[in-house]
Amino acid sequence: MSLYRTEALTLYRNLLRSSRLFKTYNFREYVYRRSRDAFRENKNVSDSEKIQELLKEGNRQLQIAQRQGAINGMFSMNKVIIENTPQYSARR
Amino acid sequence: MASLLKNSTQRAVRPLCRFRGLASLPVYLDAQATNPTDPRVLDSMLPYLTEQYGNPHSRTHQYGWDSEKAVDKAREQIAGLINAHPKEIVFTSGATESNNTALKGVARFYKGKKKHIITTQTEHKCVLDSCRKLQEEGIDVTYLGVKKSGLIDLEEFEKAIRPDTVLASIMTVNNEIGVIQSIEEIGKICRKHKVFFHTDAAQAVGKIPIDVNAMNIDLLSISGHKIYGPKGVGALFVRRRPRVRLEAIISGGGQERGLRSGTVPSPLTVGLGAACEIASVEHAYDYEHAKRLSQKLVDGIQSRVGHIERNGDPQHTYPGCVNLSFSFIEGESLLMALKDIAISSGSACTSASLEPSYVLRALGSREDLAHSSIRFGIGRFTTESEIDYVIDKIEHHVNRLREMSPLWEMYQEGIDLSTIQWSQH
Ligand SMILES: Cc1ncc(COP(=O)(O)O)c(C=O)c1O
Repeated sequence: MSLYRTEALTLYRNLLRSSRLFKTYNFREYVYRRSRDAFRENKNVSDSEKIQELLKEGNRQLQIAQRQGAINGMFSMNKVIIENTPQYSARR
Repeated sequence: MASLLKNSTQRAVRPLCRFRGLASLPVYLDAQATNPTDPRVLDSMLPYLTEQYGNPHSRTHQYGWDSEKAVDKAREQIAGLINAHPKEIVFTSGATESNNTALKGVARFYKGKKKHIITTQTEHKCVLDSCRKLQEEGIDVTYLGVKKSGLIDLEEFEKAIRPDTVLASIMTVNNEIGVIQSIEEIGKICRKHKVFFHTDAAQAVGKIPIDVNAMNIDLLSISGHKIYGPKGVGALFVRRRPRVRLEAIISGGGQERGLRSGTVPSPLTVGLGAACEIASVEHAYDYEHAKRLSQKLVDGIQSRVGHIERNGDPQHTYPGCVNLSFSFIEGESLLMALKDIAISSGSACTSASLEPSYVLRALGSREDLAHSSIRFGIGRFTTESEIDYVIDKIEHHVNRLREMSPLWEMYQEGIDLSTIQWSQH
């Protein structure tokens, strides 16, 4: 299990980090929330075949997020109003 | 100079600066009008907008074969989401074209034998307008009313079926009030009477489970941009067994089994396919998210300002569509005040007019409530913080506008507003 644990934690960290590449508020928040919820949902999975499958899919998602985050960063120029209002901009 | 040059080559990629410096964007809460393209969808499309530009109908080289393969995969992804066969999927430019093709196509093909169509008063404009066009061509159309809940009466529907009824077109999820019709029951009735059943599922596909076989659906319209896909693409499901036949409305090279001529836009179809595949994995998660935020929004507004009415039956409603009427104030003035929130008073196509929505009128809403309605659309990318912001803004502006409203004053003094004789104008 611990064999996959390190890999899973690295993937998780990288996914959360990739969310920050998105300058568009709503995409950034979604990538963060979706990654977090996927890891919470699957944290008790013990079947090694299933874990490998999840890791593979997670890595595929990470590559997409990194590519699209880079593209988004080049085209997103404006902030949504609540990003400028500290009272609302904290992550939930 | 040298250092400038060095700088500009070091920064290999330059962002687009056109919009820099504009004011902040409003919070987007208009998910029924359209949605942002999901980054995963864009990721699937980009290869076909750059290197793989082949015409999917080119049979003589690899460019064409690669594009064709991509289009076929998209067809499978779409079919998979609604439990259809890939050969039953016809690509169109959107749900408007799908609806036009279904209604006009079936009506015109079977016109010699059958010439009656049943639809409802709360359909999208493109269905109602296609029906008007068909009436000019001699087709009879029954426009069923709906109950206060927004649902049709199934008995009334069955009674409206005539021996010469060829098609019933009843939408799955309404775009203004979010009401979900009893599609499975409607499908059963249609099958029993051998009437083709078309449903405009633009607001339903990817949001609630749809199975064209379990629900006896013969034709179904899909829109790309409502499910986080690109704009300008959609699909029409056309059942093969029992076979539904259509007269094409576009003539040309005979693509899409002759039902829709014109080069299939491979990048757009790939995007639609990806959107459908994502939806088949994500719809339960998305639904829970929409439900949670929608509950929070309704409860928040209810407890902070009160005197609101939810239009449409909340039990049979897709939670991501919340249509509320605010008593004692004009919807237009509230919309104006809420300029930092992108919302609308109904559908995008009628939001330019000040007329109260025909959908709300079909529900029998009081004129004043129909005038004060606002639709909140919650989607995959809506955040909880945005809902908090919206509730706060609504509280502020509704209270402010009510303070200025003579109706609110009368209500506070205990005058029963329903006894007032309004002057005709
Ligand atoms: C129920 C319904 N049908 C059809 C359409 C039209 O879809 P499209 O923009 O893909 O033509 C819409 C969206 O405006 C809709 O909400």
